[in-house]
Amino acid sequence: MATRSHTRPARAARLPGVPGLLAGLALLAGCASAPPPSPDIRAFEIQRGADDADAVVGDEPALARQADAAYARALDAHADGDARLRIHEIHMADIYWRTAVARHERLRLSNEQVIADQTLRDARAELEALRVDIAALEESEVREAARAAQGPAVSSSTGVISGQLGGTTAAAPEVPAAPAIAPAEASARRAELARLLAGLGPVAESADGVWVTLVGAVVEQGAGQAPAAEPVVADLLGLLVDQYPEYDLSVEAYVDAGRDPSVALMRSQAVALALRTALVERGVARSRVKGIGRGAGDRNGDLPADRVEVRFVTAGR
Amino acid sequence: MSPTSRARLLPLALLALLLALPAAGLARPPDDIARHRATVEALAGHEHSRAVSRELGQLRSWIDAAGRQWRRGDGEGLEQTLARLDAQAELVRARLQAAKARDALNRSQESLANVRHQIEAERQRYEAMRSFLEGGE
Repeated sequence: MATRSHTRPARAARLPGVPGLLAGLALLAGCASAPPPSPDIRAFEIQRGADDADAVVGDEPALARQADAAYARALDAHADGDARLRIHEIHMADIYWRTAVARHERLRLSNEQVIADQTLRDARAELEALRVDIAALEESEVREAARAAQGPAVSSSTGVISGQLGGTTAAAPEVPAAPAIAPAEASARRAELARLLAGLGPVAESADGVWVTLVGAVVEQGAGQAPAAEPVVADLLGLLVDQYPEYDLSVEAYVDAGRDPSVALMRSQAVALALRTALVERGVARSRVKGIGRGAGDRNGDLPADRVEVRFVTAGR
Repeated sequence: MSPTSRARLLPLALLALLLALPAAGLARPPDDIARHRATVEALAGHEHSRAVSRELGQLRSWIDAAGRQWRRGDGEGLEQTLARLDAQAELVRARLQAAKARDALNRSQESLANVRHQIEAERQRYEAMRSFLEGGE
């Protein structure tokens, strides 16, 4: 029994600062006749001597002091043979200490959260910038293809992404020339196209072609994710582009004016890009479809703020 | 009632009063116990309460013990149990907050991994497009 009681200094020596002192004092006071530590006291000493104990004390000094005081009282009660008080005090010591550990943990996690949030913001900004670059590259590709195939350049409507890669020298993809159609037949075909498009949304006709306003054609996938085109809409548009080779396609996206204008512009570019990509994936020649993000744009009558205007424009215009 | 009878009843009345005094002194604890019961139920309804199920079980056990101690007039034991209940409730709150913080951090880290994955995919797409435009395809 004496041997077991003398194992306490070794344990107490591992307790940093105040608890070590308290344990040492308690030990010295009752060294000669102190009973061996009870299992609950030993269990507390083990957790109190864990590797992160100093950090816990640093973050929660008041709670650590309360835990150590209760521990000292438990040792006294144990020495006095008062089991009930010992059990109570060691419970209190354990609760105070574990509360200190939990608060220390929360503080550590909060610090990590700040870093993670900043890293996430940076990564999202990087992703958006990359998408803007890609949109610019696609715009450039369309311009180069149009320049090579049709002579004069197609002007960029956004005024934001033009010219970023102006020096590129792309080989224009081969696109069959638009068939020559008699005016009367062209008018009939345009009316037929307008009827087909009417199933997707409001349609308008002009001398240059037909345009339809779509809502929900491209679905936002949540923060940090690229939007995706509705497959049914993309399928139908892809089919119509194929059936009406006399028209090229212009996909113009508008995003809610309530947002930050620069964010609205980037999101609208991403929306236009998503629909254009979906059409290209369905076999539409890249040079026949251009995607333009117009940001918030100007409110146009009763049209929804979030919309995509798909214009079937007479090829070569 | 005769004076003699009254004199006989007086000690009994005093005894009853003496017996009632400790109970009167312990009048508050049921309120404390009810408060702790309400606290436990509120804590048990927290979205991360599974992380503290053991501590909540301990709280319920101590609340029952407090009720028994109050009924048998164990003032000292009751005082200790109520002190443990207060401290334990604070521990549960601290652990719930830590669990919530851990959950939020995990979600942020998942989002970050997802965005990095998208960045990598977009970068590859960008490089492929640029290569195509520069005549590499």
